[in-house]
Amino acid sequence: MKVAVISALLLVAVGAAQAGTAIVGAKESPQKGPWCGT
Amino acid sequence: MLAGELKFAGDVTRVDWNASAAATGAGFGDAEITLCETPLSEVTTSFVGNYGGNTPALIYSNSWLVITTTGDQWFGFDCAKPFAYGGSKNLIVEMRWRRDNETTVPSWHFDTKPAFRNCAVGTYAAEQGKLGTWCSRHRFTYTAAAVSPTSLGRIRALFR
Repeated sequence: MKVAVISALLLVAVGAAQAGTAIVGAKESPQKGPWCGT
Repeated sequence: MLAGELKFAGDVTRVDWNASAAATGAGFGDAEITLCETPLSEVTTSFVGNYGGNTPALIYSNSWLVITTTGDQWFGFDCAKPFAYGGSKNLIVEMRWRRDNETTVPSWHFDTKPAFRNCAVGTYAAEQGKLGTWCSRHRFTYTAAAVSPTSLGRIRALFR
């Protein structure tokens, strides 16, 4: 009789914060402001 | 900003505007920047009404903010405290200041016609503003939520 035991350790998921950037809007129109001194 | 434009959920740590040309020493006194989630998809003339019942969070303040740009470049502000953006509602970026040195930072905008996406006024404490069909080009730096839950598993198998 052959008996084997397999033991495996699984790392299912590693929690890690992911940094990113999101750019909204195209360069459609160069305008004054909104940082606009009066 | 619309949730469909932002396409993320997480903690916002920095907000940038995109200068379109050089500006030297544009000064703004008692400057404040706030972020606020809102259910509205376009703004009205009422600043408070635009919050849609939510409370804006102050992410930046400076007694005398000076902005200098050399051309087409991002310029922005690290958040004093990360802003938790849920990813499903729209987001209002609001800034105000009490005085300035009459210097402007030219910036890139995008057209939002026919939707009103901008509300502005030249008086600090005004409750109503003038509407515009444009929006500033923005870059948001954020930290997304960690993968959850982290799990560790063990498999034991017996073969005969």
